Amino acid sequence: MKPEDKIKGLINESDVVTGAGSDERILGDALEHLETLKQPGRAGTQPDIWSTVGKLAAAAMIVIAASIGIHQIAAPGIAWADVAERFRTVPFFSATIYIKDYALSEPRQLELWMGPEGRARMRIGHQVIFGRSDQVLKAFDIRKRQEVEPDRMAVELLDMLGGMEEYSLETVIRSISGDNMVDVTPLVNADAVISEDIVVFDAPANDGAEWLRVYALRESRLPMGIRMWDPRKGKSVDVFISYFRQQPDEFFDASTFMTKLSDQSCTEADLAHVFLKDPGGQFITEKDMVEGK
Amino acid sequence: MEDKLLVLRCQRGSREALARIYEKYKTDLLVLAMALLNDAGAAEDAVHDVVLSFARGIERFQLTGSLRSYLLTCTANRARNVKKAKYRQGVEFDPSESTGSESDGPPDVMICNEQLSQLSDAMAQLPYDQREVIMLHFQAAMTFKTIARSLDISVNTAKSRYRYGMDKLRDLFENEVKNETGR
Repeated sequence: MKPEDKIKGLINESDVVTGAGSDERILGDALEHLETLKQPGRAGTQPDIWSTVGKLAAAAMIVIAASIGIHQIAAPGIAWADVAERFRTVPFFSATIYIKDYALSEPRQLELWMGPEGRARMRIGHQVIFGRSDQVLKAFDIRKRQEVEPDRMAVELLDMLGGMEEYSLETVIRSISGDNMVDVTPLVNADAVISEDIVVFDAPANDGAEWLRVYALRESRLPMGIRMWDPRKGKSVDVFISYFRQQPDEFFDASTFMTKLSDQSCTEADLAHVFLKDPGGQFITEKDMVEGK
Repeated sequence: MEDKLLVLRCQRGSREALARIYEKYKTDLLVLAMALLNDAGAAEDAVHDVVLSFARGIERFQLTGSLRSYLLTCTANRARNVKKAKYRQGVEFDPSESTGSESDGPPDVMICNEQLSQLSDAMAQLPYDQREVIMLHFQAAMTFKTIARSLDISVNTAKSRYRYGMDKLRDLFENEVKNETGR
């Protein structure tokens, strides 16, 4: 046997058994150090509502939270079980999120689609990303037409979406703002209401600078828009929410999407929204229009 | 993909995520450290330092490639420092000392299987520089170019160390076969 094969064989078959004592000795100090990352007020450890990644995650999570949180706030008679059940019955929604770091900046746009059973699809820049629960399943670059490493924001976002134990506006705002909000239950701001059809909730931050506003339909209590704002430099996150009928399974299917990458009749614009169906019967992509689907 | 999420969770202070990373790669790291140091206690110490260093730097850590390769490289670097420190102290590892084998290892030290004991014994016959290149090439699946960059040596030096090391191992294994057949 060649020495290369012998060494490879030995390495492949090498194994160690570590007892609790060994593991504790090796891992204990590292785990202890990790505890310090959880200490309140430690910079950079809690997702900051305005941090580069946190903003996106915050916006998207509030979308979900608001979907049920508003019901809880505006209709105190509804039990949590009813709220949770109602949320589960929402088959599909999408959110378009615009983020600005400065009053004069051009916004960055993110599109998020959430379906049942934790299925998610996102578009960030050139990437289309598929996820389920807290996992990114596949990410594709529609310019390069190949599978790529997912955008870091997408990974973080899906992780946060899947990691939430309970979807309520209170827990969401607490987790994303690091307790930066004074009262995490938004209050009705009657002065901001311009139409009786709309109800507006506000949540201020501790230092009185940042604030969050949720616009919801009065009758259905479904949130339609969310704005986060920091007056100091005009930073903002704007979220526009749509509720769709259930989309076809292939919309969330990374494998089916992959087959479209090699289809040269699919343009970049087609790929960005391929398989998405408009509930009102309008064409979403040029390919659909040409093919009359 | 799982590694990226685990790293992100670690960055938020998740003990479970760090424990999962450790569980996932501990065998790889301990095998490498053991093969390089031929001492169960020193191997555990080296991996301890790597995991602790990883936790300390987690806030700024960005995973750009394979987490396994990153941790293996860190382990090799740490093992080299341990070796240098021992050398400066005038203490050389004695291969006859505890290697954590099942028969003589203290109960709370890791236990190596027969193949790992064979591997670390064979590697102990080589100069440290040679065993390092061989292990990084085979276990971490690193190219000579990457190894050279990691060890701050030329590619030719990395290849030479590998070649000389493999020649010695060939002799060693042939002698083993002769001894076995001659019995």
